[in-house]
Amino acid sequence: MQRKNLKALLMIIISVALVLAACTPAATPPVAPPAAGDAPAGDAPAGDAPAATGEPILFGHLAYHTGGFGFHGPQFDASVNLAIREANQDPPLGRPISPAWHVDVGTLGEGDAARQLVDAHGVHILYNTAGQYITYRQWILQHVADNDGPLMPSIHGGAVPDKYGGTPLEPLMRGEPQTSEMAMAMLLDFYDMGGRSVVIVASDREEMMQQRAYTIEAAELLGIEVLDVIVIQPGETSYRAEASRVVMHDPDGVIQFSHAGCSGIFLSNATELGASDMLWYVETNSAFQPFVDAATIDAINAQRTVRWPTIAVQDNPAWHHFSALWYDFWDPRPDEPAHNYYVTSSWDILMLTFLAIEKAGSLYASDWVPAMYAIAAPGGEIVHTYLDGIAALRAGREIQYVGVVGTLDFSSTGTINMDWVVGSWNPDGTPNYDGNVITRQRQNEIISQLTTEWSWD
Amino acid sequence: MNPILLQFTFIIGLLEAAPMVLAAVGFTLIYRLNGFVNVAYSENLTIGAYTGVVLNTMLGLGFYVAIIPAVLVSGLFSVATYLLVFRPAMRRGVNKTELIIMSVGLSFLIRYGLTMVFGVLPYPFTHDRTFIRFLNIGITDLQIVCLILAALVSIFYLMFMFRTNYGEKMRALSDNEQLAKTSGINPLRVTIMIWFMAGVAGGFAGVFLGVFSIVVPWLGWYEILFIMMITIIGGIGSVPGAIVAGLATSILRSGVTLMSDSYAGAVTLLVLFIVALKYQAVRKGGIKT
Repeated sequence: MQRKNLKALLMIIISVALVLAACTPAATPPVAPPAAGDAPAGDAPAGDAPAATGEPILFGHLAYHTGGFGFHGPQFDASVNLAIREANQDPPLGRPISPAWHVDVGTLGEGDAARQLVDAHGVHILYNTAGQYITYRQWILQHVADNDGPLMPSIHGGAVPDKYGGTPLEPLMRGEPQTSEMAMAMLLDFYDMGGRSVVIVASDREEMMQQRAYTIEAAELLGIEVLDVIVIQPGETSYRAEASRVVMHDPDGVIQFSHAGCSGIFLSNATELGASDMLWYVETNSAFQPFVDAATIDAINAQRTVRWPTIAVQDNPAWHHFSALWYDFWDPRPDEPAHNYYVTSSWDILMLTFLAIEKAGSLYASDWVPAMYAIAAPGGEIVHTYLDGIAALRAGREIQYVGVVGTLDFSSTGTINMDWVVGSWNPDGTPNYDGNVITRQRQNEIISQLTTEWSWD
Repeated sequence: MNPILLQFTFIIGLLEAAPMVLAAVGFTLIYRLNGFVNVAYSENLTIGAYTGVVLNTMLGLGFYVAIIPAVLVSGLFSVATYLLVFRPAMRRGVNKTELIIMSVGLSFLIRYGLTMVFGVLPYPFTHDRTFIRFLNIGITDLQIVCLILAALVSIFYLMFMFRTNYGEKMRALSDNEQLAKTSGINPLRVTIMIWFMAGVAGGFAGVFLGVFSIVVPWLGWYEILFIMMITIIGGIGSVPGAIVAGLATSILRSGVTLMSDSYAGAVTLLVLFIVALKYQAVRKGGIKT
């Protein structure tokens, strides 16, 4: 009898623990909107902020708390929470922005998370549509057609083919360039470093396979010999068999399109098998500590250089404002500096989003999309912070937001085009963000000649 | 076939086989004894890897020193799952299918429990490597040691099962529990020993997988399908079969991947799996008639 009671008690404790765990809040605490009458901080102009009243603007974030991108989760959540806090000092339309719902896509998938945010929570802003957009595109397009929303700013929209987005019927507006342009930056830097023979490695994911296709064609245009093209399955613990092909070919270098863990393991395996003194290129997501942990310092140092593309921050008031806020807001890991690619572009696209809502005068996609183009395009008064922008808009002036990464000059499908900087890992395992600048003009010269097309139709 | 290709195939195949052989041995031990597919066995690998990384990277123990306590913890964890979950269920008359479903649930519980404790940041082992060339192929001293350890552990398990009194009791219990009881064998004690040994084998596999990659909560989960396939190919319940199948499939898969891609390697394994199932079904049908 006693044993039965003990077991029952154990079951109850475990059940309660599971329920509590399920109720645990997101990686970073949601930010409550400020009370009406709070003075705006920082660079905001003098003057009274309107009281924050009205129905809140509901914000949904497609977050990464588990899976291959899980280690980015805290900084993505923090970048969203910080942006919301900034805007809530003087929210657009006088409507406070709700604490974000950070719904994990790493386990359930992006489609399920998007449906939860849109259907269950009724979000006005669905942030960070990414590579799994194809799984719910038809559904969200119908929802937008029926409801004129949600708004879909994204820093991962570069994983969506560039023919989609940028219209009121598909209000996907990107804060980062296309992954194809990232691939061109890697290839052009490889060429500048003297690489003339390459092995291309790509994870079996939609956007990475597209990067592979673009790179194969572009390499031919540049006169770089593609010795092998290797496809790997994401999430495996060993890529020795695949990596041995790199050793057998002995190229000038390797260009890899994979997650940080996969890239690191592949580099480590290849180095163990004898690959050395090569030009090694990995994606932006590998500019973080988990890549070093997977690859190991001695494998990185066995190569001539291990490099990755990023976007340079501008030395302007936007950067100074944001960087101070970033370190004040939370305690990032050493490999999550304020100038890292993800958080800077996240900041800018969200500042643009909130300013565009004010300019649009509504939360409808049909109003917001034109407002995004208007605020991003040159011609208005240049502003570098949200508070400057909102004050100018309320005073009836046209603005152009120039942010941490500079101008976000949208194409007709909501894509952007930027200069890349190719950084590298130092011998001590710290990231070196100073590197070779690959201008957008150089990228476009190559991209304009490519015949490879990417479509989900 | 190109001799260089053959060399790469063989050496890489051996390196890939080391953890898979051990995992398959542990998996098949449990199946042989209790007759169900224990999906939660995947978490023995993960527990072993995390224990190792805690001892090695966080507490500063040398890698080789950290192995033993890591695998012992994995063994104890395996016993705990048996005593707390599976044994009570079996005593209540839960059938094999329900046990499999329970094991899946247990796997989720443990995996997400580890995620709550350790987070999703990957953890590396801390170890030095010396790069060596062997038959014109790069290899490290750590890989050689792990290969040797894996071989020794496999031989130990074989010898234990077929050359010791305890091993004889284990086989007797697996084959016929009632008869084993009447022969004076203590079923609980022997069962605990089997689950412990299975867990230790899984712990070794987890440490070897983790040291050559990174330790994440889904380390074992991503391998469980391959472990099951290898075990079935080798004849589920057979320790020698698990060892031979682990070696053969790893070498074959490496060779196919080398010449083609990882899809082809996985398909090769799948074809072997289907052939093995067919063969075993025909063999069973032959015995019945």
